[in-house]
Amino acid sequence: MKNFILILIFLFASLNLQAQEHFVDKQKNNLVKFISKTPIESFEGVTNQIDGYMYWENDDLSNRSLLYFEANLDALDTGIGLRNRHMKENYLETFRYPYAQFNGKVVNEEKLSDIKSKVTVEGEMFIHGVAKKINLQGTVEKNKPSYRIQTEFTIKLSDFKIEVPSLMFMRISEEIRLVLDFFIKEKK
Amino acid sequence: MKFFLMFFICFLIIEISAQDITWKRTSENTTLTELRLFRSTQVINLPSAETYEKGDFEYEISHRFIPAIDEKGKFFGLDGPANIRFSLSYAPTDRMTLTLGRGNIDGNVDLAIKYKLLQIRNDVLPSQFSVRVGTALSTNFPSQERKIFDSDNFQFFAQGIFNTLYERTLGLGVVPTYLYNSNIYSAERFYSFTFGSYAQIFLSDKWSVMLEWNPTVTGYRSKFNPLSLGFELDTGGGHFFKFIFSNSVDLNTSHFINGASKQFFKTSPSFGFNLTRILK
Repeated sequence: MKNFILILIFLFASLNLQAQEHFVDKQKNNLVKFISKTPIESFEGVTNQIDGYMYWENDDLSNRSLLYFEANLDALDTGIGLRNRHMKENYLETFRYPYAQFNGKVVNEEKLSDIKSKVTVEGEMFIHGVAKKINLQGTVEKNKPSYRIQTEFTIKLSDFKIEVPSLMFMRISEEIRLVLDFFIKEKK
Repeated sequence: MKFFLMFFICFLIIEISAQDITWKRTSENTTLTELRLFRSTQVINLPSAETYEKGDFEYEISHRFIPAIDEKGKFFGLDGPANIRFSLSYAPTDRMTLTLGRGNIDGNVDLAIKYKLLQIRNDVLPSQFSVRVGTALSTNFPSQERKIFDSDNFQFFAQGIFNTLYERTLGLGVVPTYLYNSNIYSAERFYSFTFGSYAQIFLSDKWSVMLEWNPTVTGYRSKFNPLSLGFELDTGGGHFFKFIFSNSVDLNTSHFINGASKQFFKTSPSFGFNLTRILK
């Protein structure tokens, strides 16, 4: 009987360790933004349609870490309907590759304060059917049960085989700045 | 021994259950955008089933040079004279386009509304169906006996437009059209029923070639069925340049539907162009 109780206690303790999967909180003001800057024309595209999960154990973001996030490129809005359409149809080809995806893990967590950590993430970015290994840095702000994730980084369109349109009315930079600011919360 | 056994069981449970990710994509992170099969709202003279996005304006300037391209002293027909059409379209919703246009033949002014009724999302043959209805008024009818708004000067048309696209390369469409009062010069009221069809091959994100045929099935036809071919340049910014060779030199729907005045193969076709630009 004593052993049985001990088993139960161990089981309970071990189950408690695992419940650390967090999903994107869609009730919050999530932001995925790209910024294209050229001397002739600069513009931004935004969407709040980001989804995915982050997993860790024992309150250590890098402990057995797994994460996956995807942004819906079909929902990107640059403020001009026609520019959206051409961007999606001719360059991002969203009918074929509707998501920008990142799959990876937190490899390092550096505490900046009681609630804020700087994290280094390793993984693969998938855009336009092309996968590229990438290391990112960002911050995670813990206000349990909510976590705010912020990161900014630059990608090259040619790395993802996205042709930069050269003709006439659209000027897109070869280097695109991506800004992500979103929230995750514990899975219910 | 029992302690190790318990420890092993717990460890096993952790190993199995940890990182067992339950996240799944939900419909909230998918967007069903409007199907886009053809790039432009019209092919040559016949409309495509496309409508523009809410708030878009489109301006059109089209010419059809009346001399044939091999007519001497007319520089491939470009010296004119020419039929000219101007139009302005507006999309009050993503699925509706209103167009007001004017051609220089008889001062023909037309007002049309196009509405996309159906979209079929299919991996092999995505398709869509739109209807377009409109009225035309010839404001420069060369007779003192008729006033501008005389009912004889009005024409009415209705078109069903079915489009499909294979492999994002071959666009096909059929456009049955009914036109009431086909010949405004006649005291008798004629109608025309045509069954138009077209194909457009998208060679790249900018260039495509087009073929369009609009045979009269029943009712009034001036002489011949219009046959047109051409190529299109899509500049990527809502600017379409269409260069056209056709036996029809008509532009407005109520003129084009009632037939062409010459044969395509026995005489030389005429040259023409459509220029359209989306304005924001």
